Amino acid sequence: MNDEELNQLFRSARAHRPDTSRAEYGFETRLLARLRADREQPAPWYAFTWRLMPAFAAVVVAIGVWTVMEWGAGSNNLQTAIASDYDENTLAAYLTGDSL
Amino acid sequence: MSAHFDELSDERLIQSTLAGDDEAFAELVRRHKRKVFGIAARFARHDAELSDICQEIFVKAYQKLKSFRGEAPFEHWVSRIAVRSCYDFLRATWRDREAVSLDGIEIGMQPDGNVEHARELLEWAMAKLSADERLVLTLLELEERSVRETAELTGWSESNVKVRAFRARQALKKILEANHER
Repeated sequence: MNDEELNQLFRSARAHRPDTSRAEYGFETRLLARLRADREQPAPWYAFTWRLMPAFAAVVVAIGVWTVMEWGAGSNNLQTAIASDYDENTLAAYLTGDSL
Repeated sequence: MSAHFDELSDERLIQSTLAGDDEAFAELVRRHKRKVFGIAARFARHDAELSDICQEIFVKAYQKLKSFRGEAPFEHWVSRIAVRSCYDFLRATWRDREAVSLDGIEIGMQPDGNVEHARELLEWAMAKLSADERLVLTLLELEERSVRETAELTGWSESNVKVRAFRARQALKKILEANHER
């Protein structure tokens, strides 16, 4: 098929204007009825989840701050560091027969 | 009521709609539905489908009305929504369309210029194109819009429209040739 044959097909199709009068009849009435029905329908529960975003963000930040503070406090405390190794050292001494 | 709206500009009707007057929106629809139906009719297979597509278009227009800035006429703005909605519709129904058979359509080109036959053959072949190929050919070849207008309506660049149109024509020729050889 060459370009001229294709253009001929397009010309023929262009000459045909689809008749939309039947579908257009009473269209505004149906559309307004739909818009009113959409408005009257209660919004689904998940439609409001985005409004909780600030609360979720605050919780995430709070957890982050708390984690950093706890980690910082633990690593700087010598007593905590020694105490955390105590159980392991005791077990190793028991198994090897060394005295503490 | 309707006579009162007749005198108002589109901008005033939009303001009234945004203030909660549904009848003002109905008047806007009444004014511009012919254009929207004309666009959608190139893609719909029957009246019910056409009515559904047009409802989607005007519901979207209603929901986005706040974003209308008045930089272009309302008709252009709603036409853009119409074209993009038709594109979404084509993408959603592409699989159904591809399966359309040639039953009842005479195979092969007829030199006598049978308009109805040519229209059916083209409709069948275009149903086999992808959504963007069909959209670009419909706007350029059937609606006779310029490359610039097509670019504005689709949101694609002008060079992108030209490339897509070239590829779409090649694809359409292949489909018609394959059909001709059968």
